[in-house]
Amino acid sequence: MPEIIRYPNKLGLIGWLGGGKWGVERYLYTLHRVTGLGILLYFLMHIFVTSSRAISEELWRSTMGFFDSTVFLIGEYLVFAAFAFHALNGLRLGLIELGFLTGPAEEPVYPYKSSLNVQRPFMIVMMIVAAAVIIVGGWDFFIAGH
Amino acid sequence: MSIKNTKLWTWHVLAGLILIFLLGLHMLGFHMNDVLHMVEGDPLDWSTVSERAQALSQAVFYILFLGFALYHGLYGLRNILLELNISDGTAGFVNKLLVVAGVLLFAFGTWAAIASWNLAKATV
Repeated sequence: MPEIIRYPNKLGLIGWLGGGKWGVERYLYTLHRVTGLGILLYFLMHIFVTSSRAISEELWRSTMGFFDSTVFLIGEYLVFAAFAFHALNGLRLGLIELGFLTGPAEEPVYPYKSSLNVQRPFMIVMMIVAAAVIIVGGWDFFIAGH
Repeated sequence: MSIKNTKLWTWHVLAGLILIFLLGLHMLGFHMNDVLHMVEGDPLDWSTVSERAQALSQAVFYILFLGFALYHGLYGLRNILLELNISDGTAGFVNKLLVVAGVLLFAFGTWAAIASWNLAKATV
């Protein structure tokens, strides 16, 4: 196991809820975590549910029949929407992490420029794409598929 | 952050980027199929499930998908838990628990992928 180096988290979970001076990106951070936990929970159940295909056709059919209800359809759509947001926001985070979307290093001359402003247009585009995917997915889930 | 932690974090980021592609294909094929028509017929009907399972590439896709998703998800969960002011002893326990859970889930999912491939071949 690697050595664990941590800094004190003075705000705890409350720190997730306040955007403070960091703007909308702070709320995306919170939503990224919440959607990530939701997708993980669904994924762990998904592994067991879909493993029924390895046993028999009858078990697969009865398992799929159990989940064939409006409640599960809505739940599945929420997971789909969570994935659309998490993936597109994660793409933004990944590109920033790898050194893109932050702008070149500059001499700090007042008024200081924030690298948050460099990534913001991309963030807006990603959120528009996520919203479009969620809407088209909703059409597929609730209208075209039924 | 130690060098090993940096490597684990980098793998987390890279696994996330790979998952956008793998999970994106899965979502488009399974949950937007009525719009995009990527899969012939109902993707959850046994006939299409069995037909897909006959291809070894599907089993490989599933196992890769499983590995990247488990690593990305469980490492992300670890990071959240370690931020909650838990003691070093508890943090060490969380690390071990998530590694064991990840290995067991990967083994189970891999078995399911291979077993369904064998079942699909046997029913041709």
